[in-house]
Amino acid sequence: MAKTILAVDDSGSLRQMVAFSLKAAGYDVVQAVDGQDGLNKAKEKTVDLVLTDQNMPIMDGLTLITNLRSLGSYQSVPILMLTTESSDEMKAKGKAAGANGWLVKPFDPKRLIEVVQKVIG
Amino acid sequence: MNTSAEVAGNTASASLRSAAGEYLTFVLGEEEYGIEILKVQEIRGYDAVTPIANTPNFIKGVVNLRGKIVPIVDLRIKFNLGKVVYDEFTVVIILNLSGRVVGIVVDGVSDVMALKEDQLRDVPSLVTSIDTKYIVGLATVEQQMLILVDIEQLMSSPEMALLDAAVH
Amino acid sequence: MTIDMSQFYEVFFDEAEELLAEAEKLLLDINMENPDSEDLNAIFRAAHSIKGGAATFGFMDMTEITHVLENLLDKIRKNEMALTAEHVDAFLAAKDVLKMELDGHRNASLVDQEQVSDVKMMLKSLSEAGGVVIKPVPKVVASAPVAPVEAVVAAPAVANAQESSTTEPATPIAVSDDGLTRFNIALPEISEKDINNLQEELGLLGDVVVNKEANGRTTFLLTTDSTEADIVSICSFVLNPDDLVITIASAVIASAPVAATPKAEAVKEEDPGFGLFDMEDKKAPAVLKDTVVKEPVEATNKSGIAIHEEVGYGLFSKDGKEDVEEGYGFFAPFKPHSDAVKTTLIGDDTVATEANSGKVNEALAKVEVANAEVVATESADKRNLGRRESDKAPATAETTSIRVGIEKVDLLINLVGELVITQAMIEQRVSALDPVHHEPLINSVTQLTRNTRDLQESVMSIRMMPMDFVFSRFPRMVRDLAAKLNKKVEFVTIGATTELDKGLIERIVDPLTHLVRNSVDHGIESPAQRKAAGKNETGVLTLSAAHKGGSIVIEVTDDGAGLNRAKLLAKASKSGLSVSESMSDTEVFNLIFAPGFSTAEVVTDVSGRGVGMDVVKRNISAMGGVVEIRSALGYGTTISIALPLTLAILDGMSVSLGNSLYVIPLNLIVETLQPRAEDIKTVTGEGRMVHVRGEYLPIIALHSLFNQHTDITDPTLGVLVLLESDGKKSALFVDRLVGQQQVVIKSLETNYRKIAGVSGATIMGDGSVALILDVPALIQMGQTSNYLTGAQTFSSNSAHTMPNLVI
Repeated sequence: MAKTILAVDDSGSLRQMVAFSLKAAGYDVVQAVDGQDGLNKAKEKTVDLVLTDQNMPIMDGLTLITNLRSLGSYQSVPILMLTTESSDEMKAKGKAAGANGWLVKPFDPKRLIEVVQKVIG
Repeated sequence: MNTSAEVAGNTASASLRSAAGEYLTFVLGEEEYGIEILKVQEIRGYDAVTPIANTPNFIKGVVNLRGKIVPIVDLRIKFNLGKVVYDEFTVVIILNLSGRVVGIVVDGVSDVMALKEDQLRDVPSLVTSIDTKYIVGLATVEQQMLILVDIEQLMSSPEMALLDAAVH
Repeated sequence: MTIDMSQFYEVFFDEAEELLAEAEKLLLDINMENPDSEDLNAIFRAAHSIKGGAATFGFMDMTEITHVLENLLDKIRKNEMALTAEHVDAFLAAKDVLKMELDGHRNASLVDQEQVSDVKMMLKSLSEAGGVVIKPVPKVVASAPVAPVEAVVAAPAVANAQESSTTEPATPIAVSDDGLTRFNIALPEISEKDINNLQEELGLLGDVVVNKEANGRTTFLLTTDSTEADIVSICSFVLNPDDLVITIASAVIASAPVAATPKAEAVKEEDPGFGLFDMEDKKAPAVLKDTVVKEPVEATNKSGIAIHEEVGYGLFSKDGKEDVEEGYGFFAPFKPHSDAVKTTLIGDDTVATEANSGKVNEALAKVEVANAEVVATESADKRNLGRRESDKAPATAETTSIRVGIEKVDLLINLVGELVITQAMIEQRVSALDPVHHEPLINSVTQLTRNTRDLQESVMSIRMMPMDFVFSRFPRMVRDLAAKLNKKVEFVTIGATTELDKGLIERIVDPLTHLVRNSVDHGIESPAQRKAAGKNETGVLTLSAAHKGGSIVIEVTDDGAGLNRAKLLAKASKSGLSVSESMSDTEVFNLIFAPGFSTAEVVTDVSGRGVGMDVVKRNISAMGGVVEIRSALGYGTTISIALPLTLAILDGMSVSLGNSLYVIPLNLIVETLQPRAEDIKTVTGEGRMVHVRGEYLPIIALHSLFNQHTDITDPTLGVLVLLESDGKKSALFVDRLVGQQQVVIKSLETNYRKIAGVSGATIMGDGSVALILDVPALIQMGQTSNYLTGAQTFSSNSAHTMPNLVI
């Protein structure tokens, strides 16, 4: 079974790029347009990895991570933040919320796949 | 065949060399013409033509060709050749000229033939019904002279009045 | 695997355009004194999203602008800076520049680099002006909590280049985070001015230090997260890039690992990217699997990259980051959120339930981390196994809309058009059958008719877009215009959700822009004039859209001075137009659509040049639309545009003439009548007229206009169709009315050419072609010639030349 990745980003172009690249690499991808959507989809489906943008309307990435971690089934699912801000502050916040790592935007598909493969194989 | 034509034939011009290929031949009056087969989309009968006001008499009007509105030009009228009658034998050649679809009415379609370079001759200064600038060359096939027409250029010429008048 | 990024460009362009439009809208509505933080956030997010996308897809020029824009917005958003009108202007200007750059990428249109750098400068100076005052040392604060690092970092404490370029580095050996690179840029001999320009430009990328070399040349030391290519492209505005020598002075080493692990540098050489120790060491023995107490550790993996395992509440005392040059990294994995510790999951999934602070040795940490990974993998698998049976729903329906090429939609519309025609043919054939014997067939065909109509409606609706796409561009325009003209204008839109065909939406933009501009320029008076006239100083400009029958009516209304009949007439006669006092108001108002007719006393640079109202009129007519003017002197003017709902389908009346059928757009027909002999008057030199309700209207005989044979040449034996266009009425004389129907419009020009008096063609139920009459052109033709009498026919000569004359 292909592993399923939840990609959360309010930017359609980035989300499509992420989804397309990951699908090309053999993953199933569930897309969500903001944190709330991501949370809903995470509850509906079994997900092996969550990739989330930080700055989104309705619910931002940090809140999403916090919420996911409070779900029993998401305590150990790896979560990576996709962020343009790679400041220590942001990383600390992400880590505090429960993220497992970060990936700085812009990234290209190759990098993305490389990172994802390291996390979930 | 006069000498000049033969000389010309021996040193076939570049345009002639590129003219080799498959042709659809048709009859207009006493003359037989050939047009590049690649420009021909289909052949159909003459049927249900809607006339258009205030157009030259050789533009018969437009037809519905599977949802496309296609103008029909009667070359017999345009070049004063043949007898202009419309019946179940009247033939319309539907041309596709760089995407523009146009139908032409001729006296009859005869054949499709492949012409090799050595069958082609440059246009001598004889008079044909069609202006020589639209004629690519001549070919002799079984004692019959075939006039090869650059149909795309002919149909796009201002005298055909098929295109919107160019801005001068 | 290579992935062609260009396939996402279109999506990005559309998205960026939408974001820009949205940001503009928010900016225009913003309350300067008390800006809504949600709005500010949304504007920030728009800039942020565009920046992310632009950077990903390689549109660096857009990244640059959004980057400075974002910084400034961020400060305002965080209340570090108060929002001023100047900011809003700068943001709007930035939006324009971004749009220009976007169009540049999308359509290869021209990008005014001067405007770009102006805006960049403006944003930057605004950002610095506030930033320095409010937040003098932004970056050091952020690094402060990193306890063990602090001491080391403190010495070269440097503000992040992006946050404040005014702060000079304490030492040239800049230390900052984020994997910045320091480039040494040796410039050729160029002027001082160019050096300053370059310094300014490069300053946007990061921190610039200028060094004057002994030989008089200049070297920049640039610390940035940008690439060498970016630097070259910026420099190439000023100098030949070949003369440039760029070397990497040093990869800037991030602060944390330098401090935390002395080995980090060595590691970088063998694995200059990332350290995923925990991820790779999956086979590590899982002996300590059940360890309950997991403590924050600071460890070094095999390859020497520092990681921090951190569980529970140790966060504030420990720094939890790794440095990763290539832009990503992992925290010690699978730390549950503190709240989640209470919730437990089946078996092995439960990670630490208690957390203490402290350090364990390196070896323990190594195993620990590896262990966590094993646990996670196992648990994930278990959950998958457990759920897959019951949860087979595939990961679908992620998106609620799809983007498809317009040509696909048009093909679909065309095919449905064909289907409608075929269906009409079947219906026609079936209607000839005996209903008693063919009842089931007839019922089926009735059903088919209904389904076809529904299908057609649904398909047409794909092309429909809300008018908001057009309306949304006007608030900004009106605001700018009003400011330029020193007028006060309140802009109101009504019915922005009204839908219109996409093709029409695109084509209505220019005419509407012109009309709105005209209303602000000529319609609405200056505040002083308005006050003198006893009106509110602020004029109201309303843009509305509404469905009316089979049309959509778009109106531009102002409460300005209104059209002055006397002035218009005077101006018209001066321009050599034939006018008379007896003309109706409508006719007089329509004079403004005459070519070269401009009523403005002062030619302003707003609307007094360029295309005139005649072009507006022509464009709208070309769309099958009708323009109408209503005006009252002193009270205002309304220009009303009625458009067909779609370009593809027309409500028409088919009429017969001899053997032919013609279709007349229904919206242009006032009424049809069979005249009595006494209503027909022949006026010498003007042809025949018909007397209808007190009006004398010219009769245009279609058979003579089109030089077509018919047996009916006496209007009393045929039908007069009263047409109205541009405020002019005429009676078109045809043989008979055939029926009212919707027709699919086909262009004659696709394969043929434009024909005078004909706007297109359609295919009738029997498969034959009928021409659609171009009513405005017919009325025009009727007025300019003697087709009116119906007595004459054309010589073949005039038949040949006429199309050229009219075109």
